[in-house]
Amino acid sequence: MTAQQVLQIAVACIATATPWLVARIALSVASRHAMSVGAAFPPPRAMHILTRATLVALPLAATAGWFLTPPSLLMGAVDVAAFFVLSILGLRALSEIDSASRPARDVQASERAASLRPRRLRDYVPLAWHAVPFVACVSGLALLAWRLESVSSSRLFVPVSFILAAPVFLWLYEVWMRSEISGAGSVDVDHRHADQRRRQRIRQILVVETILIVGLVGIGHALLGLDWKAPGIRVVLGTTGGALLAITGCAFALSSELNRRRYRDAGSASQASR
Amino acid sequence: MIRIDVTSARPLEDQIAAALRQALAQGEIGPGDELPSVRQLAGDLGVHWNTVARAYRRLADERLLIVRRGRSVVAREPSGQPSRVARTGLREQLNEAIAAAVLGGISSDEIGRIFQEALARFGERRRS
Repeated sequence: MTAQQVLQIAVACIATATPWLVARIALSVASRHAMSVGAAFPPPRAMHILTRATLVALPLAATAGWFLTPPSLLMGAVDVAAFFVLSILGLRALSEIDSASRPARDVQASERAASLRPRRLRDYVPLAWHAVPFVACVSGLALLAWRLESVSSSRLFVPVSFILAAPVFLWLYEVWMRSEISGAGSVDVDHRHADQRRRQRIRQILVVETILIVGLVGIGHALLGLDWKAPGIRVVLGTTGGALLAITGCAFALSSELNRRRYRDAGSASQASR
Repeated sequence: MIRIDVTSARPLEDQIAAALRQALAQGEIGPGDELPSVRQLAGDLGVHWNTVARAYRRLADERLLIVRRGRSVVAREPSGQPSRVARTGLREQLNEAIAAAVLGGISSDEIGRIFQEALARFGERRRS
């Protein structure tokens, strides 16, 4: 079996398993949060269906990758089809996870209190730590601009995609951190511990953001110098690792609302009391 | 710290504005102090950001806050002389409160005593 065939099978497996991986991360975030607040979290039925469907589809996609000679247009169609069909089940699973986790997230209180102290990102993360993902992203992009002239123009898609994903994740995670600080749903019933929890969550987000950006920029640059016409094991590992990193980053960003406590909106609270 | 009750018949915007006025009057927010952003206060109270923005705008119209578009909200330095608007507002609100108290069967002496007690409590909180 050639490295190109291994790469084809790895891509097929990633395309097939992506919806399950995203839903599994969302499920784990939601269930951990429910457990931490002592709320019930019934396991969503759609998740079981998605797991079974993925377990059936994975060997089929891998077998197709084994038999079809790369590069194969048909294999690309199989990857896209597997991803889209399983995504429908994945979206259903995410929707059920969202509904099941509501009791752990919604805080029903008619009396509400708010601090008058403005909160800023710099109160929670030292500037030097916060600068790391920015520096990694900007240097990655600058290095890409400098290296593009010297590398072969064929097969640039994967490495350049990984490097260009870094600013997207930077933006996504910066917005997430800011919404943790000041956005809707930054409520905590126990005000004394609210700031400590907020600090912990923001630092966790920053750590994941840094890993994502440094990882994607690093993998992208490592892949940029490799021979894609006769890919070796480093191409297979780099592509698989980068793709899994990007999928995990998206899954965490998608799950950002699942462990945030929020007041039920004022309208429904006042109706409930009447 | 400000508090609101979402089940109260009083509009949320009024409650937020009143709570902020009280925090300003009691010295919890001093002149030049920055207030939380609209998004932060709305998030903490679980109300729409527009409700908080309207409350801030109202206090800015009353010359209690300075709202810089897209930037911070700051408490304004109090003017040396009490304004005519403040006096008129106080008279109107007292008249309404007295009317409600009389209709509720409270005597004039008791209204006076309650008012004096409330004023003394407010003064103590401000000193502390």
